[in-house]
Amino acid sequence: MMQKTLFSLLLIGSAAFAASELKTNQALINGKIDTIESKRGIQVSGNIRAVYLGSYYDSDQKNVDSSSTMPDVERDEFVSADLDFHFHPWDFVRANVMLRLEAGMQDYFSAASKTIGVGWMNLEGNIGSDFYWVVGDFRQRYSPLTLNAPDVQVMYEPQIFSRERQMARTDAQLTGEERNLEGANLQFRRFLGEQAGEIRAEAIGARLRRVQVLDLSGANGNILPNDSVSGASQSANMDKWLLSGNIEWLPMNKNLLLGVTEMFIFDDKSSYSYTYRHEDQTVDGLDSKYVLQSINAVDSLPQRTFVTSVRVGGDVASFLNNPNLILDLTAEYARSSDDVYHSVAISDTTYFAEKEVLDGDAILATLNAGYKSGNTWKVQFSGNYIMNDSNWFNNLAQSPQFFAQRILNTDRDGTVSKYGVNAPLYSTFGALYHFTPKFSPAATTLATDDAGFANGQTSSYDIAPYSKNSWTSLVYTRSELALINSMSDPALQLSLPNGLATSNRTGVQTGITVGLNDFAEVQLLFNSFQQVKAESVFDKAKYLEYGAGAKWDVLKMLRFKLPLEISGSYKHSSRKMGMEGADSLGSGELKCDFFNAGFYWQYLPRLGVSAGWQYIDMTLDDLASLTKGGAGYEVPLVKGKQMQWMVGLDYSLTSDAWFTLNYGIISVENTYNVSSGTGANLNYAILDANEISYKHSFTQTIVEATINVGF
Amino acid sequence: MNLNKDKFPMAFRTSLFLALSIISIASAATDSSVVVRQRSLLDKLDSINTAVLGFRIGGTAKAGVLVSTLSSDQLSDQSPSRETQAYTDANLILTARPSSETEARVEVRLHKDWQSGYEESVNPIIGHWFSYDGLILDKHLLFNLGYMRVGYTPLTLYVPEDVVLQEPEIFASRRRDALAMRNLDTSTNRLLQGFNAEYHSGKVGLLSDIYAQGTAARIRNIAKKADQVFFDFDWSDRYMLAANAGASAYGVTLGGNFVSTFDRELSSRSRSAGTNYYYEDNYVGSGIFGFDSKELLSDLPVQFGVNGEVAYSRWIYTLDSVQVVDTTYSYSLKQQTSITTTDGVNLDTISEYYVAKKSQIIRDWYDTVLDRQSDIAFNIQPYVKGSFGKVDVNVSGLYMNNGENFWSEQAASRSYRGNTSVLNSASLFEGQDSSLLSLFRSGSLENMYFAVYNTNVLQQQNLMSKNEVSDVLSVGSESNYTYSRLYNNYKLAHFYRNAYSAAAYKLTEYAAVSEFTDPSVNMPLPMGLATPDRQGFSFKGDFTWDDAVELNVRFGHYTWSEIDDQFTQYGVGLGVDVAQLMTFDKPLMIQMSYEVASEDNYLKRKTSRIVAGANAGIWGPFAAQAGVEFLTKKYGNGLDLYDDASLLVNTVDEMLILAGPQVKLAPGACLSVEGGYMTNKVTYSTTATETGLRVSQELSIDKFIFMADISVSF
Repeated sequence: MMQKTLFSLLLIGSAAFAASELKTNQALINGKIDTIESKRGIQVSGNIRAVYLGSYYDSDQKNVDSSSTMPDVERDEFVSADLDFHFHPWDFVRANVMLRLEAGMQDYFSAASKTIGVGWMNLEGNIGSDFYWVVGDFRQRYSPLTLNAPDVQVMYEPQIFSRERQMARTDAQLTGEERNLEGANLQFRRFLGEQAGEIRAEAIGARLRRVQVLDLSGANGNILPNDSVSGASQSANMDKWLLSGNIEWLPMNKNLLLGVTEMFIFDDKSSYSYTYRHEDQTVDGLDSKYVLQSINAVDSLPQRTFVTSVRVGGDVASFLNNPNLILDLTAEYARSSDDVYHSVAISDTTYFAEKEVLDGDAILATLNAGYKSGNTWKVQFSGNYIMNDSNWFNNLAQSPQFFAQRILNTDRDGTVSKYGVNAPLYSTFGALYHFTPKFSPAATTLATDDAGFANGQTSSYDIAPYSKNSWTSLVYTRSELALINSMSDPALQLSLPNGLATSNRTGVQTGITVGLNDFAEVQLLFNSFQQVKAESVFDKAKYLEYGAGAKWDVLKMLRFKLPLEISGSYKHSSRKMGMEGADSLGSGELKCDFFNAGFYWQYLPRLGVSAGWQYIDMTLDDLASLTKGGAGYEVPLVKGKQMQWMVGLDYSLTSDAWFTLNYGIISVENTYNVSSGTGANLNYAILDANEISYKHSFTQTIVEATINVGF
Repeated sequence: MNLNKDKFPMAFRTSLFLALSIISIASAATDSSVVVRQRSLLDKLDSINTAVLGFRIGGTAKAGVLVSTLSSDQLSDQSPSRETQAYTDANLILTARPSSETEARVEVRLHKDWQSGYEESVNPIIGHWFSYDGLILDKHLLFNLGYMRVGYTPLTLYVPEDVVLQEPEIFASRRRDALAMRNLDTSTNRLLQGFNAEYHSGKVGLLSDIYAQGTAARIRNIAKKADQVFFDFDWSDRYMLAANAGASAYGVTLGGNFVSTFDRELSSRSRSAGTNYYYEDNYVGSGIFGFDSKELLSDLPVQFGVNGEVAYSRWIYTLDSVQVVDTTYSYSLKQQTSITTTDGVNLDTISEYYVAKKSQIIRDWYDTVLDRQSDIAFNIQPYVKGSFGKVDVNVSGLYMNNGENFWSEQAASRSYRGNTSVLNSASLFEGQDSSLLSLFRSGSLENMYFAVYNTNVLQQQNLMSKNEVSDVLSVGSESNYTYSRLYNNYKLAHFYRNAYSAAAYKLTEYAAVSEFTDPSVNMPLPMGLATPDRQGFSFKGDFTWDDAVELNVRFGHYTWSEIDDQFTQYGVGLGVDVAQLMTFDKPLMIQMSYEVASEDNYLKRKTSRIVAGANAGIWGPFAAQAGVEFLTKKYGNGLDLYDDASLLVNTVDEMLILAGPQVKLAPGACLSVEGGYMTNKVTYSTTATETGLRVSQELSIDKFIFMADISVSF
């Protein structure tokens, strides 16, 4: 900027510092040379996601509550562009900034003001070739039991759907199972020679949560807006920090692994803050007095968790120097020590939070064994054994990437959409594959005056634009994890809702993969787990999963360059959680069958046609349906059928760049037990007298165009 | 060092002093040639910058933590004692140069406070600088459009300096950072938005320069929403129009300046009737004269001169209210079927009579001048500087006489405001301490050297609303629609906690807060040379030996005649460049100063400041900085916070120690770690409820501070 110094004559006598011009000039020259030296280029990359999505809701059911007046079509139209600026990318110190440009599509109001947000920002650098540091946003993963962001898997997911999932995950800035954190990450890696191998030392200091007053009514910042159960609000009374250190030694030419990790997750009790709020937080409560309250009154106790992990591993195949053999084994033992609090009554009105330190153990052993004959064929067995006891806790490894949300036609069920998987209009496919970065909900009463806004709110969110996406890299608290686990999607997260770090589980997860050249592959899976400790009145839950799938690229087999791939899979998953004395209600079984079928044919270079079909059939016996529970689960669900099919055309440049036009239908049919005594209250249906079962079905017709460009 | 090589006994060396002075002039000439070469290099470096046409992105980024842990016996049980700022911050500078003469510049700020606990919907970037600047017409005309920093003279358009003598770099850099967050710098130019053009002729005949300048800026903007409270708000648009012109020849400069700051009344007249609006218009004209010997007497070993300014100001305070301009009376005939006489007899007749009706039509707004002031201000500043041997001398004096009613708004407000809560702002105190802190955030050192920048979620407590349209900023009821107005929810917005401001006070605004002006910075002249009702003189002397030892001497004496208040101010500073002195190859600089200011009437304030610090290069890219500052503020007559003697502040004692290493990671990249300790002790008195007697109390707040950050420029 042009800084003007006028009338220097007048100012000669009033110089603040009497340093000589010689020195001043020298400092200026040094500064300018530094500035010139520090300007060494800029690199720009990024990703653009443009979506048109029309979701047309239809149902034969008689909707009787006020939500039936809400729109039955949701049209999401947006362009979201992530521009990554890498400043002096080839130097020892670099700065990276990602700007997220978002534009909804309309030209009626505020057309000129599109938001530009800061999505990612860090400084990073190297000292020599061994030491790397990053401050600001970063991603990191140590191991499944320590630092990890568990994903969900869909076997042989049709490409027409997996691309949608890729876009939703990119919007949440997720990569693999790495966790996104903000803080400082230091990494030292030194190769000491073939026998001594490589030594790695890493340390992280990151702030996980910041003291921040959040309204209790918004969709973002609350797991359950306007609710007061523990974990409903994500605002923090205290700064929450992670300090971790990880040392790994990979001797014998990196074929052995010895690792140890220590993590300390704690709330800074000195930062515990209060805020003034109206005593009565309802719309009528403005005349109530202001009172000093904890910022988050429903999750107020400090976290103090230590996690220690040791792991060993070896690549036996490499030891044997056999390139065709696959044989590696790793084992990890982790121990957590976490403070929990119990409420102890001192008097009728006074309670004391009594601290107890829970020590939990987790064991994970992984074996990969198989044989491959060059690129001709491959057989591989992969197995995980876990033994995580019920006290095991590590929210840096247990917070899942997928928290099922209501995405499509949320205006339709407004007040209950916050209950996600337990909302009557929930579909797994909507949650898994769709997202809207800045969704503007409709008010329940459309009016533009103050009273209209006041009356137009729902209890699921303020009628403020918010991001609808089930994918996230948030680190949840213990009570938030308990809440979202009660709302996890059984079709995707039944046995291990928190990945391999799920507490209170023991069992095996196995898979066999057979590959033929690069055009055909078959997978079999078998998983069996059970709880280590039974929950309250229940027996220990038992989990069973099995399935198989295959994909076959017909044209590649015939040595054509362009692909024609057919894929399919089936997976059965079930949970049995009985209850003593309730045998007549069944074994407490919840079972789920998930089918996938996909087709993709690139008939011309860059032009392709794709199709996909998915079907989920979930059944709950009486006991399971009565006890399933979770926030918003009021009417026992006994059967849930979901089906989705979609066909589309695409123009693909790379795996990151495509344009698609898709059409499909999601059908959902839920059967509820509405017999007397269940507390049934279906607010979206009229029940006939003495009806004991009610079938509610709806469809969502999807018309979709997407552009995804990574550059 | 080999002392045996010292061949000159001390006496002999002293006797040689005068003889060597001739040589020293020669060496000064050598220095001058170095300076000339330096200037040439600087020009070349600048031209490298300006030679790059087209679009460029550069800027700075910083990431780190600032932890402040507070301890105090008076802290409420429910108060947090620690506040941590953990952030990544970037200032991107986008410039476009269509030619080497002009540049469009946009600066945007990006800020993220670290957390992974809740989803941040949109974390907006803010644009905080937009300008189009140029030096055109063969470099005769400089113009600025948009954001700009412009200064005329100390009595017209200016920002009074906040100077701490020999301020150690560890403090000075923190002050620069805090200023930069508000787009400010340490210059005396005022931050404005508008248009500025400045013409310089260069040499024309006998004249070395003819100059003319015009500046137009909007100072304030009328509030656009009456029912939602926000802070960038005023009752009417306020503008500044300013110009100056002059010429110089043979080192003599003569010129004139004019600055007019006024409210645009029509901007507020669309508001509903029934509310009175108050306007302040301020006009200042000044003449300047200056002489510098350098041009005329360049052969002299010393350079001397004088600068002076005389100014005349007018200030008009106007009430703008609705005028009833048309009152009409209409009459109508009415019938009454029953009329009762005054003595109670019912006439039971039908009567007809006229009824008068008065109608008043509000047709216009009406100005009433409530107050009008004008006065003269004058100052003259002679100076002399030169080199004698290894000794550089720079001495200046000042005599000023500003009238009681002199007021120059655009020259009177300094950037430093103080009285802000910067660190641990969520802390809670109890009882009288809470009352004290609600009006008196005394920590001058915290205010001067610390600033917090956050992006916070907009929520019901920072989206304040009001029920009444009028009187938005006073206490009153909330809007009944508070909760339903959370449609901005979960959008982040940028917030400051910063004691510096670019805004210029109006006279009535300044009068309301003048008591709370921080006396620790230039107590006699809180508005710099434009302070009204001041008469006095000052002396400044800066003496440098061998570019290594610098001694500063300050003395000033002023009178506030209206209340017969006498100010005395003095200070002494010492800076020693040990590396230069001892020929170390790593820098080592030691600085210290002592400053005192006092008054003998009014609040009988007395302040003293002791500051010391050091900068040292240690090894390779490693360096260290340290500084300590002690500050005492005494209010002899007590500072009456609530105007009812219920709470009188008597003494404030503060201390700040900061120290830590710095590592240069790469050109333009630095890792800095600093630890510090800050104390703030306020002694005040209250009236005991039971006895009615005065009771002395003490509020003591200590803060441990830890900062670690990495900064990169690119």
